[in-house]
Formats: sequence, structure tokens, C-alpha cells
Amino acid sequence: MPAAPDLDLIRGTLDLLLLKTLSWGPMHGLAALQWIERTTNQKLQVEEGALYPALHRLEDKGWLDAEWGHTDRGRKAKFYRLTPAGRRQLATELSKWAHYTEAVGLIIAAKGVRT
Amino acid sequence: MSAGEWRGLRRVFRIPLGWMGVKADVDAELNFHIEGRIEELMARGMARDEAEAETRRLFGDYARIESEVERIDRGMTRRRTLAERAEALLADVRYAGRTLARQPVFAGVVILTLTLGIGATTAIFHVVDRVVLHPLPYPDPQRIVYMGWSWGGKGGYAGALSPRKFMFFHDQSRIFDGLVASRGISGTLGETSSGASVRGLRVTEDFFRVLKVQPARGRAFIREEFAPGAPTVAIIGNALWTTHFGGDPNVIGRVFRLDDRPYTIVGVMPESFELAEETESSGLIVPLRFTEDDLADTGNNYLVIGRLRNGVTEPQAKQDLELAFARYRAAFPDLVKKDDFGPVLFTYRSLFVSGLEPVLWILFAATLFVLLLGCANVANLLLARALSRQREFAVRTALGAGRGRIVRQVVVEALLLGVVSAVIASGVSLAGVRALTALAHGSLMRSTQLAVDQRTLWFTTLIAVAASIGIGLAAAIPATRIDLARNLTEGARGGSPSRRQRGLRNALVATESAIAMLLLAGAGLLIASFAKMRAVDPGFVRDGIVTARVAHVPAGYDSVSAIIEFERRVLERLRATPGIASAGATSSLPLVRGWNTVMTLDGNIDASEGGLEWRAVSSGYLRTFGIQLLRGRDFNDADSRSAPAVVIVSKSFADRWWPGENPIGRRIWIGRFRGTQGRAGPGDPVREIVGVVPDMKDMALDQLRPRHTVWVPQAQMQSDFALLPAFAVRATDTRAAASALRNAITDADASMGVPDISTMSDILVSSASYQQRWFTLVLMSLFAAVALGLTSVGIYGVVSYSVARRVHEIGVRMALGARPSTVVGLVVRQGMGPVVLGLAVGFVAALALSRLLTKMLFGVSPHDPRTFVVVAVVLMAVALLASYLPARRATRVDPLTALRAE
Repeated sequence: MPAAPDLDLIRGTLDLLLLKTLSWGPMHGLAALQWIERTTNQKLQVEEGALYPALHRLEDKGWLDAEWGHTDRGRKAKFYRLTPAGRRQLATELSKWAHYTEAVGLIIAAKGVRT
Repeated sequence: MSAGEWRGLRRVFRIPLGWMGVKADVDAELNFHIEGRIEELMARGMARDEAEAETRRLFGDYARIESEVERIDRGMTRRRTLAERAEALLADVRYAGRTLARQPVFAGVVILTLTLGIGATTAIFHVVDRVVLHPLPYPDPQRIVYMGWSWGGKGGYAGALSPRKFMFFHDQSRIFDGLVASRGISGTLGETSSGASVRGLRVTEDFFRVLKVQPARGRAFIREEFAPGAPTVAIIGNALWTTHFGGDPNVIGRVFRLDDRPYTIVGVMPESFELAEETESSGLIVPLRFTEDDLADTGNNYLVIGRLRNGVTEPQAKQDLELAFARYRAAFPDLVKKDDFGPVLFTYRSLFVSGLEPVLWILFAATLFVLLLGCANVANLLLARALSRQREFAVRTALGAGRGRIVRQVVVEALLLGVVSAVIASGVSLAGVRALTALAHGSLMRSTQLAVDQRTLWFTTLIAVAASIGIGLAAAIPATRIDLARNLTEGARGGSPSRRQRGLRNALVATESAIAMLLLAGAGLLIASFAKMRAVDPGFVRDGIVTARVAHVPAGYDSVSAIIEFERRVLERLRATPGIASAGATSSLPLVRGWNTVMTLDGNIDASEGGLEWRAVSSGYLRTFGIQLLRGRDFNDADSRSAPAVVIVSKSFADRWWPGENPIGRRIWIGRFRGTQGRAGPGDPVREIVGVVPDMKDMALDQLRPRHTVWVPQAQMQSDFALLPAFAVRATDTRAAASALRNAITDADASMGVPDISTMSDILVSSASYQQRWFTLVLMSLFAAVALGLTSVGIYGVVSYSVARRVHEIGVRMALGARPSTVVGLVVRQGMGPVVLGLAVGFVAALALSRLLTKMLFGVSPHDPRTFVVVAVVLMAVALLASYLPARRATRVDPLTALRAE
């Protein structure tokens, strides 16, 4: 068990992460979580308590479809899949994110105040 | 299996996600997560209990997460179910729209039928609502009353009070929020010679408080304007504002002259403002203050209206008035006679009641019947259509569509048709209401009541939805009693309709026949009554009589003698006109509202009679109307003011007081009722009876009892009588006579204004009783005709349908040698069965219900056998024709074709 990374998820980015994760294909909740953890080399830990409410909210908004299916090991699990609307939403969120990080980066990189 | 396939399957099988489903779903999902985590951790070498503890730590508060997810899912399920239902309904509507669009004739016939029914019902409802249910255009109208004066027993009552009485009860009674006295005024606006004559109302201070209305522009009167010597002000009606002042927005403060007296305008009433007398509300309102002179006037000439305080009950009001009357009796012992009974209250509404009110409910019932007929026909059509789609339904049922689903589809179809019809009907009904108002010559509704309001719209919606659902269910339920095996094996032809389906169609035809019988009987009785009334001999000549009525006498004619002098000039001129056989003047024409009076026999205080008709006429008047004297003589020019006072009486009056005796030479005192004989002062003199004329129907052609009438010479009228002269001439060329009348009046005095010229037939046609009969008759006949049409279409439809379904059977019969007449007889007999049954039921119902019409009948019994027989025969003949036509078509079936149609 690696030490819990000290990186809290920035509020509001969970939706983006889930949409992006599911853009690779249908997954159940645990798989999505593990994928995020694996991809970030455990640097980012999604709070599990927030994961399922987020998934269900996204489903309610029509960005995800949820259906019961079977895992590779034959277990019954609930799979989430990006809908076309979800794919559009992902594009929007991505460009918002790019603008945001660009702006934050500019502020951080700035050297003093020019007058 | 991919998630997408799952989703599709769930759609097909409509797996419900109920409340329990949501919970189980969430639990399963979260448990899968937890199990997965534990396994993952154990795979990395943790012991089971350690892994479980770590998982719990990572996961957090299970119960909170579970309930939050559940909440989200439940909201989602609810919204999705709703959306799916709406979508399904929309799909049904679209499907219905497409189906109907493919059958434009069918849809057109249905929409036409429903539009007719809904439109007629809505139009009559509109009228009933305005005239009967909400007649008063004021807030809290049920609290507004008007005060009359009763003389108890036979003395009758007056609907108005004297100034003294009004002032006393205004000050003394405690049951009113306000009490107002009013009296009409009329005058010439602007320049005397060219000005228009207007009418209006003088009102005391509480006027606006009682009616709870306010001027739309400007303000109501203020207290100071009722003070003696205050500047004269006026509030004008909307009609006067638009016609005479051109709708000038700056009209407040303008000064106009009425009979040469200046008035400053302080307000304009709203368009919706109405008084019982329409001409008064459209004119002007001016302040009224009683002077000492007014208070001495004992005539009961002021309409007194009050608004009862909230919570005052009828017994309380009565008690309060009794107490006040006791004080009045003590205060004015001289003014109270022994018969005085004191003030009585009437609902203000009763002043607004249209003479047509009693017939409106009957007409409303008639339109509901017409609507019902239309619905029966449409249900029949839909049923036939649904039956021909039974195979489609059977296939859908076999594929799992529930019966409810198919019923819903048919009901949605009916609703779509109903809604389209209701929209068209709303427009049609508005035109209908206008037509009704025109038909009633303004005696039905005021123009401000024409607009459609929310109540009417709600009614239309309600009735359209109820009718559609009724029709849909009536058609869908029998059509969906599907015998699967039979329908799928027997093929599209479907064989003859089941007994139950035939039963329903026959019931529809029987109901239609019964309703048609009922409406036709009603219309028949009204038509017979109308014919009887037209045939009445009124006792006076109608043909060739032309009349002229002066609407307003200009200022300057302040005495009766001045008016009589004017009349003399007009009559002289008329009598010199070639073509005019005879001419006369009168205070009121036959069939026009006249004057009431009372009388006491000379020398016998107790021999009094009230409610007499009083007519003041010139010499030549009786001759003009061809009225023959039974005894005595007509008036002549010698009956002047200075000559002995004389009177002519009607036969029934003479018979009452002097049965079997000669009334000529007897003396009566007109205008006096008991105990007043011998009192000094102005008034009518004792008159000697010089002539007796026959009783006439001069109130209304359908008046049942003769009205006791006294005729006095105009020259001998009381000098302060407000005479509005009317003239009548008898001529062969009525058109020439009309212009001669107009010229004679204008030449005698150009300021007299334009007289109202009409022939006696015009007056008859516009008289209230004639109007009411005509109105009721036209509508009832219209509804009955529509009912007859709908019923015959219904019979035709049912017989045609049955013929079409039995083509095969008929073909076999013909092939086996049945004669065409036998086949026709067979089909017609079957078609007529329910008709005869319905007729019998309708006949009995009509006998029972026609009593409701009694008040509208004249000279015809509500069970008039002739009417009933004629109506039944007509209905029978139409029904026979309606079933003969399709029956005859059946015999044209070529047996070979019919047999091959297998």
C-alpha cells in the first residue's frame, strides 16, 4: 500500500476526470477509480465517497448511460458508458480546463508587477 | 454482452425501476465496489480483516453515500418515467394525427359534427352565463337591492320612492353601506336647434359607494358637489364620450351645455359600466340634491338602490326597515295612509332580468341534446372504424400490447378530434352569440357582455374533453373485446358484428331517435303557438298603420297645452294630406309600454281599482285604429280643457263595476285610490263615462286576460303630465305616409328632433312577447332540425354498416332466389327496430317534459295531439328513408361478386 498522496482533488474536476476516463470505453465505478489511480501513478486519489454520487449525477444529466453487465471474471457490475451528449460535455470541460490552467499558469509564472 | 444491448432489452421489457428497485440497485453497485477493493488489497498481500478495515477507511460513510446516490436515482427515475409517458402520449397523438390525415373525409365529418355541438352549446352557455348567472356588472352584486313601497294586500307596491321617504330611510336605517336615489333626465346637448338628445341619471351622494364602480377617467363626485349652489358637474358615459366628445383624452374639465345649462365634466365612466336602462348608462350622470320643494313632492318617482352591509341577513334587514317605518309613521302621520305597509326590498338583479331568461335553460338543454346526438354519431363512426381495425388490434394484442394501450390510442384519437373541434367551435360560438344577440334585438344581452371570458373558455374545454373521452371510450371498449383466435383466423372480413357490438349501435340509434323526438316535439309546440299568436285578432287595425314617436320634447314645452297645440298642427297637416284616411295622437301606442293608473268610483270611497291602463288620445285616434264604440260616443274637438271631463272605458272594466247596466253617464275619479276623495288640490277631475270600447289585445297579442283600460281626451290631461307625443295614421301607401308624418312633425317644430317612425307591424314584431317567441322558436327549430339531420345520418350510418358487413349473407340470399323487396324489407325492419323503440321513449319523455314549455305556449296544450302525431310521422318518414337508401343498395349486390369476396 503506497502512502496516500497528499494531493486533494481540485473541486469540480471530478466530473471532468470521470468523463475523460469513460471516454476510453465502458467501465464500472471501481475500474474507473483504479484507472485514474494507475494513470496518475497514485498521485491523485479520488475520494471514494464522492465517486458514486458523481457518477449518478452524470447519468441523471444524460452524459452517462448505466447498465448492468458482467466483468471479465463473470461478476455482475454496473457499467457506465459515455453518451454522445457526454462526449460533447467532455469537449466543453476540456477547453474550460485548458483556459483555466493557462490563466493560472500565467499568474504563477509572472515576475513582479509591471507598471 | 455490451451495455448498449442491455439497455435495449430493458426498453423492450420495460423493466421498472421502482422504489425498491433503486435501493437494491445502489446496494449491489456499492457492494461490488467494496468487494472489489477488498480483493484488490488482499491480492497485494493484506490479510482479510486488514483489507476490510482499509476499504472502509477509504470508502468513508457508507450510509450517507448510499442515501445520496439513492436520492439522485429516485429523482432520475421519476423524471424519466414522466418523460417517457409524455413521449408515449406524443407518439400516440402523432400516430392519431397521421391516421386521421389519411382519412380527411372521416376526420372532416367528425370535426364538423363536434364543432356544431360544441359551438352551439358554448354559445348558449355564454348567454346563460351572462344573462342568468352573472348579470350584474358590479362587485358583490348579491348585496345590491332596491327599495320599493308596499301598500299591502291588493294595493300592490311601487318600485320607487318619494324624496321624503328616501331621505328618511337613508338617515334612519342601519343595514346599508349606502343608499342612493336616482331619476332619469334627458335633454338636448349643445346648441338647442341642432344638438343631440341625451339621457342620463341624476344621483344622490352614495351612488359610487353603492355600485362600487369608479370612473375610468377623472373622478367620482365629491361631497361639495351635492351642496346647494355648487357648480354643476357631470360624469359622462363611455358611449357619450366616444360619440360626442370624440374620445378626447383631455375631456376632463371641458364644459358642455345641456338644455342651455353649463356642466363641467369631471369624469368618464368605464366602457363596462352598465345600468339596468342601457341608454342611461351610456349618457351622463349628474349630482342630485333634494330641495325643500322636492321633499314636498309625494310622487314615488325615484329609484332607490342600496348596498347591504356585509353580514346583514334578510330577517335583519326586514326588522330594521320595520322599525324605521314605525319611526316614519310617527314623524309624518299626515303622509302615512292606513294601507301603507312600508318599505320592501327587491334584488337589484330583478331589474336586469331579461325576458328571455326562462327560455335560456331550455335552449341550453336543447344544445346539450344536440351535442349528445353529435357525440353518438361520432362514437358510432369511431366504433365502425375501430371494428374494421380489429385485426390490427388483434395483432398488436398478440404481440403484447395491453388492451389499455389500444383503448388509449382510440381515446387519444377522439381527444385530438375534440380539441380541433373545440378550437374551431370557440370562433363559431362567438359568431353564434352575436347572431343570438341580433336575433333578440338587444333584449338579450348588453354589448359589453359579448366578449369571451375565462368562464366560457373553461366551459368549452370541459365539454370538449368530456365529450371526446366519452366518445373514445364508447368506441374503444366494445371494439377491443377481442376474441384473439377468432380474429386472427377468420381473416379481415371479420364476419357479422358480435351481438354486443350490435346492441351498442342499436342503443345509440334508439337514443338518437328519442332525443330527436323530444326536440322536434318542443319545436313543434312552439311553432304551433306562434302560428296561433299570429292569427290573433287584436281588436284593432294593424294593416296600413304608420306611427311616429317623439323621443324627446325640447325645452320650452313646459305645459301640456303647448304640446297639444303642437299636436294639433301636426294632425291638421296630416289630415290634409291625400292618401291619409285618418290620423290621431296618443300618449302611448298599442303594444308599447304605457301608463298605469288607479281610480275610485265617484261617491264610493271603497270602490277602487289599481293597475289600470291609462291612455290619453286625441279625437280621431280610435277611428284610426278602427276601434268601434260599443256604446256612447268617441271624443271630439268639443272635449276641451274647459268642457266637462269625460272618459271612455273598456268593456271588461265596465262589466266589472256595472254588470248588466249601462255605464254611460257614470262618474269615476282617475288617479285616486280610496279615501282621498274630497281632498283639495290639483289633480284629475271626476270624469263622466261617455263611451265603451271592446277589449283589445293591446298589451301583447298573446295576453291572456283583457286589461282594464281608461281613455281620456288629451286636452283634459293634468297640466304637468310629461307627455311624449305619438302619432298614428292609416293610409294605403305606408311609405308615403311615413314621409308625410316626418315632414308634418319637422314642419310643426324643427327642434322636436327626429321621430321614430315605424309601421304597426314593425311595432308588433319588435314587441317583447313577439320577440321572445320568435327567438325561442327560431333556436328550438334550428336545434330540432340539426337533431333530425344528425339522427337520420346516424340511422343511415348504422344500416349502411350492417349492410356492408352482411354483403356475403345478402349475396347468398339473392343467389338462393330472395327477391330484392324481401331483402330491403329485412334490412329496413332491422334498421327501424331501435328507431321505433327510441320514438316511443321520446314520445313519453316529450309528454312528460313539454310541461316545462307551458309558459312559452299559447293556445296550444303541452300535450297537443296534432303536434305530437305530426312530429312522430315526420321522424318516422325520415328514419324510413335513412334506412331504405342503404337497404336498396344491398339489393344491387351482384351475388357472384359477393360470394367471391371471400
